[in-house]
Amino acid sequence: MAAYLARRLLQMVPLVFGISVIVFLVLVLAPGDPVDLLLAGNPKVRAEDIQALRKIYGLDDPLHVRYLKWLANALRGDFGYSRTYKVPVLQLVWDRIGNSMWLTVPSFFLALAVAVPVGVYSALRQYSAVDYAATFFTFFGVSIPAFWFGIMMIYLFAVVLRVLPPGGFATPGVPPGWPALVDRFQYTVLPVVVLSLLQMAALTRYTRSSMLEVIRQDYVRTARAKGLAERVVVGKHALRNAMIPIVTILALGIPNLFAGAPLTETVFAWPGIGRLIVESVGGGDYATAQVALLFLAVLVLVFNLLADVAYALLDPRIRYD
Amino acid sequence: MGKRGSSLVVALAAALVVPTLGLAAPAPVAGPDTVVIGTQQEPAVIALAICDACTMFVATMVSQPIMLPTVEMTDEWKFQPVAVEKLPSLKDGDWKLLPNNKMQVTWRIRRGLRWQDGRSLTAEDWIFAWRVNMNPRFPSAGRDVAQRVENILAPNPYTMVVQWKKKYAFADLNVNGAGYLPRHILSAAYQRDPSKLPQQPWGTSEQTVGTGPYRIVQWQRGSSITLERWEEFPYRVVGGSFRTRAQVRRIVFRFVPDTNTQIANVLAGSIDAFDETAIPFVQGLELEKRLQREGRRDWVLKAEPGLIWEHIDLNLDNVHLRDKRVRQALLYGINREQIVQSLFDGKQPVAHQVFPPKHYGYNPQARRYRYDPARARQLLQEAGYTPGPDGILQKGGQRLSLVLMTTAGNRTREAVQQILQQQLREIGVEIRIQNQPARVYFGQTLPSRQFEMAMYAWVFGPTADCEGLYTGDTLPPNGQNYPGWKNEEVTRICHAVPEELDQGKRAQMLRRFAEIFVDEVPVIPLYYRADYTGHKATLQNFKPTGADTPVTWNATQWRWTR
Repeated sequence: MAAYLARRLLQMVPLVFGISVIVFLVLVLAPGDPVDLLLAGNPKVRAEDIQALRKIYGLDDPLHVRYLKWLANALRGDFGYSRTYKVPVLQLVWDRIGNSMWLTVPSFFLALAVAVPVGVYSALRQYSAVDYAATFFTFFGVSIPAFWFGIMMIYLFAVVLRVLPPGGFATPGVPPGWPALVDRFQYTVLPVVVLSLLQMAALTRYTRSSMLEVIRQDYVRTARAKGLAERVVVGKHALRNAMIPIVTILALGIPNLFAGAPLTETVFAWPGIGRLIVESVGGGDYATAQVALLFLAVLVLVFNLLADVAYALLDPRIRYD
Repeated sequence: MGKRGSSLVVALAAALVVPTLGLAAPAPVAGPDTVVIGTQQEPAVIALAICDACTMFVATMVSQPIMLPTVEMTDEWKFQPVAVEKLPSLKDGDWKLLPNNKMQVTWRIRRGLRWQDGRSLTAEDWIFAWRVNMNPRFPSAGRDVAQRVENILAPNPYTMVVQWKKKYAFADLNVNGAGYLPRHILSAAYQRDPSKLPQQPWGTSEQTVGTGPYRIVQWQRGSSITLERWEEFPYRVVGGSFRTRAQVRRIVFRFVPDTNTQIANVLAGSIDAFDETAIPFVQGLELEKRLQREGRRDWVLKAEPGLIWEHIDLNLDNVHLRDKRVRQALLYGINREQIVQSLFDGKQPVAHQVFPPKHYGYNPQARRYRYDPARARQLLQEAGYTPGPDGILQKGGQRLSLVLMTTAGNRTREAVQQILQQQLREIGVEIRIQNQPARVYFGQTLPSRQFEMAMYAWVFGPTADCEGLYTGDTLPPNGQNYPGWKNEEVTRICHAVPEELDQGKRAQMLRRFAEIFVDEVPVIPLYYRADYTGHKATLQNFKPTGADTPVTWNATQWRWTR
């Protein structure tokens, strides 16, 4: 296992390098550089100022020189400044990831807390009213657009009932400590519910189908034949095995916790990493987009590896040599 | 699932639900002390003199209460001295014409103004800002005025003598084309690396020390900026709207990127006002109707037509569009009155020329093209076009088929496109719609002139003129003359306007420009855009200008009625 891990980690180095090249090229080859965009609203700008701006931003260098300069700085830990936010990119990305996790982590656990018991119950009582209700709910959750659902939730809870704020991150002026925490919590509720709905729906389906497969296995029938209590049969023999594919799905989904949710963050005016990526790509803030996208790519690689490791830990039949 | 699992579910559900049930939506920001303004974008900087790649409008909105303007523009488009004692004038002798077209303008700074760290605001701060702006290593996209200045002298800390290389019409409104900067704070960083000046904490964070009646106290990136009244502001010294002691203690700018969420904020009363950028016109119109329908009088919405000019650039290199008769025919073939009535309830008026009636260069006598499809067909016939088998006109085997582009996803523009397509089809012109994301459209398509017809808007100020847009020597990459219009008289006029000191003569020149423009039709004027602003009915003196000066210009005069 150690050799396997070392090999996979080594393989990641050229992969990350390759990804950084691809991300860089995709960003800079998109039409319209930041200076072009800047000039679109300024009819009086002079040609020499355009040239000067390109030089200052390093946009007049050949592509490979630009990339190598970025790489050299990045290896020294200098990821540059955000051109649109005027703060170090690393600090910006880090702050935004933190903000996103305020939404993604609770929504993940909320989804898990609802989806697993509902999925299990649905499988155990297949074709029951609960199963039909759960199926309806999961199709609803998968097919409903997050931005529309978000707006409806805002309308209901903020405009009609007026019990929760209509988007935002925190109320300015609220004293730190417990009041700030309670305040932040209120802003968190709606986006968390919206985000978790989609995950909840998918997880419920996965759990239900995985459980359905397992409860028909011989070892479950044997457990029942031995006279074990139904709770033990389900909890110890069936659920444990049914969770193997679910754990993989969860592990692979963890990078999403850091990736934020662009649509939900935009609808709820939440300053998360998802919104930052969309804005920085659209606004030609290359330094920010490059670091944010690369960071997410690395996370995907790491959690892919962890998922593989989790497989081996959960399923004794799988061994890595 | 064991007991532990069930407990976890219950705990999580309780954690999510219980605190919500006991609390109403947080609203400590509302009330007589605070005004919460909903806006769409977040500024990158809050100091305009270092605003290299930022959204100027929103940066101005936030900075106005923090940084005292040298001269302010009111909602009636009048200019008043604020940080200076008076506006210089030729009559008073503090604006002098010198030989060789040069000028000298003397400004007197009001004594007693100071930075929020206690340092006096002096001539050195204006001189420093001008030097920074003119340094080629400083990233500036706005040197068009600053480069006209030859030198600035300071005979004493409160007097500036600005020497101009050549005449400039607005030398009485603009000291140096660069504003002022805190030399005592930024000088060292500037000496180190001028290109990194926009990355300093000053201007980009809570560490920004201003000169205005408000100071920044909190900047939650991506969420809000909070300003608080600076109690030591020298009200007795200043001019303009800043003479009034600020009534509102706190101003909060809340950034809400999504329009529907912004509207929900209005309906829920979570914001007290919204600025010109917050809600696009069509949604603003819907919101206004909804509030009227529901009989709600707690909000006041205004949509003043301003200086945003929606139009279609025609590429004059196109084989069809290089013929003036075709361009005129297109204009006769579009029923713009119907467009503004059906889409905007007539609140965004038809544009017949570049500048709107409120602009000093507006020409009331200039020719107007009323909807006249018969005249359009006649002009096209005169230009040699005959109907093809599919009803589309053709000439020399080439169908009169044109591509109309605009920014993808802009619902209003897309609706206008569809009406235009239908109307022009009736005169035998085929319009093919090809829209692009804003980044591609403004970043590549327009600068490279790879379009036939391009719909977008220019945002003007009250002193805007035609230089840069329609001068024959400012085709891309040397300027934004995207249609590629080369008219010698227009080029001469447009270059001369900024150097003509007599407002009457300037207006005459722009009226002549308008005459040529409407005859030549290098561009199809569509309508003047109106931006919606709104505020709670109990908030007084919230006065949008309808120009490029955001609504915070008179923040000191805002007050709540009980």
